[in-house]
Amino acid sequence: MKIGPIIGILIIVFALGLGAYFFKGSLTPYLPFKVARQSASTGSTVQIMGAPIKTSTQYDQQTGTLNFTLQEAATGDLMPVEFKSPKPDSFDEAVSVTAIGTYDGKRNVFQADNLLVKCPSKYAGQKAPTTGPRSYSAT
Amino acid sequence: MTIAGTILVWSALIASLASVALYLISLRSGERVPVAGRFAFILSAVLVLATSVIHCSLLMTHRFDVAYVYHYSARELPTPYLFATFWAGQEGSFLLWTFWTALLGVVLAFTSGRVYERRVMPVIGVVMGFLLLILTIKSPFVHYVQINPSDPLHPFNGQGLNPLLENPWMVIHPPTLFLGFASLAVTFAYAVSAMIWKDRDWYRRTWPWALFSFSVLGFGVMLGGYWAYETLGWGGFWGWDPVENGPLVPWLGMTAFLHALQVQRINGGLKRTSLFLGFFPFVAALYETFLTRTGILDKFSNHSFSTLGGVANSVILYGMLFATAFSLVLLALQGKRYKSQADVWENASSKEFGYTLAIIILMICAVITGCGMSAPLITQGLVDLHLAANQSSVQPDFYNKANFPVAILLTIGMGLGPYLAWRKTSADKLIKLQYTYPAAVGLTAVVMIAAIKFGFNLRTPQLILLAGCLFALFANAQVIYVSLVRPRLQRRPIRTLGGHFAHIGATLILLGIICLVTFTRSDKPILVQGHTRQLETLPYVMSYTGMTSNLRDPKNDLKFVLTPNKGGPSFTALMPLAVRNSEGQMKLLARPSIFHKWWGDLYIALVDGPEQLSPTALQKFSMHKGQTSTIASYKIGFVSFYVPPKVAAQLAAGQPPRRFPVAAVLVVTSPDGKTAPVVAQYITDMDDPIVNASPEVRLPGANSRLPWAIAFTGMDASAGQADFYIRDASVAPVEAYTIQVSTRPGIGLVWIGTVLIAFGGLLSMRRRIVENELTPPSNPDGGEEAGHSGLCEDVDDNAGLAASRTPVSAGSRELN
Repeated sequence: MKIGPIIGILIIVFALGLGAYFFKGSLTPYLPFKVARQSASTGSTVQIMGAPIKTSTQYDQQTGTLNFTLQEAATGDLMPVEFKSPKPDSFDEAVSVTAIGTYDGKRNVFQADNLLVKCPSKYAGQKAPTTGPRSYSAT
Repeated sequence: MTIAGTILVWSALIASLASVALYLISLRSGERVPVAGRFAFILSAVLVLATSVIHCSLLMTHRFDVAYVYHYSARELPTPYLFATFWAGQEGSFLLWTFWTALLGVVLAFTSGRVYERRVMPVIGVVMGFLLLILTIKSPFVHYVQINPSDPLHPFNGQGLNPLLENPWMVIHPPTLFLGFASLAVTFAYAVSAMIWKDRDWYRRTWPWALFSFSVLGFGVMLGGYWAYETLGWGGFWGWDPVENGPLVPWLGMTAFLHALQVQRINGGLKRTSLFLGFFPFVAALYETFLTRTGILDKFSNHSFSTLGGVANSVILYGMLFATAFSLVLLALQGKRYKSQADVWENASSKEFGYTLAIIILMICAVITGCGMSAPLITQGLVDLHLAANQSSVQPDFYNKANFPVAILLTIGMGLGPYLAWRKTSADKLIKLQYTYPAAVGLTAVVMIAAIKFGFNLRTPQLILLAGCLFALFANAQVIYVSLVRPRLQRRPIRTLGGHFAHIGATLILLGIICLVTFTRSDKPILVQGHTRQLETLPYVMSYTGMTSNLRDPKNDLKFVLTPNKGGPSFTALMPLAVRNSEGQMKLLARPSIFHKWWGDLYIALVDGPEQLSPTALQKFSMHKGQTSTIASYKIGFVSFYVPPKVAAQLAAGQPPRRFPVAAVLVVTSPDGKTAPVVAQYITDMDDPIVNASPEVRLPGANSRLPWAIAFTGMDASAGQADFYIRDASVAPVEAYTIQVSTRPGIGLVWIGTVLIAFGGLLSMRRRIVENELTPPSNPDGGEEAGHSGLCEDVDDNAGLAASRTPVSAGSRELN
């Protein structure tokens, strides 16, 4: 048998197989808060998304830790998040933040390894909500 | 003018569809120039140009009654960035894509020749129609009042551009990238026409266009990376975000296509492969557009675009599906008319086998990147089929890990390639002295480096990649050297060496990445004005010396001074500051300060700041209405809020004025018994965030012994709660900045490599254009397979060191 096709198939199997293995290992599920809390037992990395509550944002410069609370749009559920890094750019205007990390069941806090910050869409076509008094914060 | 713009878009759409029809009709008419079709297309292109001019003028004249102008521009934008808002939003970038397609289409109409013009132009016309259809649905000329019907007066000023986008790269990167995208349609058109009308030389006509796409798209993609590196401050240039992977997959496909063409040219192999690879890049670009612009990846990406809306999303989706299905069906039906004349698998030591492996590896890379990007779609499909529990995405480390072995294989290929001969490379030729040089040098260097840098944690996989890179670098450099330095008679023109330059460029990029991953050192000090600090991992003493100007000056920098430990002069690092107004609050954005050294860059970025330090001098607290607390020996009673009646009415109606104060009324008793009312204000100013929102008020009994002041810093009116701080005013407030200082060794290699890849592509483009002039491709009349056309300038690429310039017939391909 010609060696050429063998080499070709070997390369394909090797590269794609390795790729599939890494793919599966890197898949991070996107979960609602309730399910994310249960994932604490497995210690696996998950993704959660919610709206950051502005008044809850605190950055401790000495320890370099950012703490804030996310509110899930669908359920109103609240989840405290800890991120050992300064505020990502545009965090203050974010309407939605995706946190990738693990849920720490003991301390009831989501340890984020990475944050994806979504700014308000510039072409939302909607006015800002006007119901109720607004809260102004200087932090 | 907006009505004119809308009419122009519709007219351009009609004209482009008319051109498709007229060109198709002209297919029957033989050799005459397809005047009608060409006229219709040129008309469509002119209308697109006029639309672009109108779009541009609406932006430059600050027509904020147009929604797009309002959302993306502002009066204070400098002119170049004002111009760049043309493509800041979805509608604008689609218009840019259409503009380039129109321009390239006109060039194609005049240069594709009599027969081909009426074959490829209909495809371009359909692509134009597709883009224009999207523009009619998602028009840049919608009025502000159509979006906000209850706000009849159009705004005086726009929302402006995100300050991160206010830099020269915003002017350069998107046009380059979209030019690359638009050019993919040309190769697609040629591939489609080759499947409908059999022509053995179709690939020769599209070859210069494919090289143009390769160079421009590749360069455009890396421009985005350079922009991120230079502006964003995270020190990297590639994050494997969907919008970065999106143009990469078509580019990889185009690179594979170029390799397939080499085999087809020399011995007529890989014909169906090159047909497939001809339409793959454009279809992949459509798929990328679908993924990144329709918002389905929004949850998983850092880049969010405004939503296109359901109808436009569907147009993109169905357009992509149609193009894919159309191409695949065509290939299945017509592909067998193209019979391969060489068996690439025949001999594993042959050049055509090497090229085949190169194509396989490049496409594996495209598949890996594409699947990673599509993971949310794939997993959502699995969820719908009840095969998986949750939608998931992959993290950036997946791409690095999965593409790593691919990179190793690529470097081996790039290194071995120049020394393989067509048909068969006999063993004795493999062990020739010249061939072992690169191998020896590469391996020796690796061993040396590993020995010297033993403590630097170069792991085995990285060592292998490093060896591969060095090997490929030396092999290709040697070919260039020998080809250019030879005696005049046998010298090869430089335009035949494009591939070698591109390979060197690729290896330089990989070498740069290896250096970055292995040798980077960084530190994250917190710097306070007036204090110096020794950096831990880097040999510098650093201090923050203040701002060069003030916050209201647009040309304001943060100034840092670094002194090398070894002695030598201190140098200043300036970080340009921009102040951003976010909902009435001030936010500082600082661009990194980058110093270019011979080994790489010294990269200084602002991580956080300013933060108030010296907590003992400043105490924050909150109180409810009616509550009394004792803070720092002061008894403070919070009586009530006060809002001027007119302001209160506006707030209740949900329409706060642009600037208004809220006051907190307090009764304060000082430690020595003096009691007095204190009114502290909190001012909200939507237009000027730098205003002192919390002016401090002296507390009663304040004198040189007790110089305390209070400020009202925030509130939650519905809860009746207010935030305050009191401060010992005799202590000056200290601001601290967290800075990241890091070395970026080898980063220069990445940029040099990028330029070399583009340079190599353009060299080859010139070569193929010259080739087409010297030996025009055969008349495409669908003739029988009679062997591929002989070429006058038959310089055998990559033949290594003994290629001769004498014309060689199709039979003897063995060299050296």
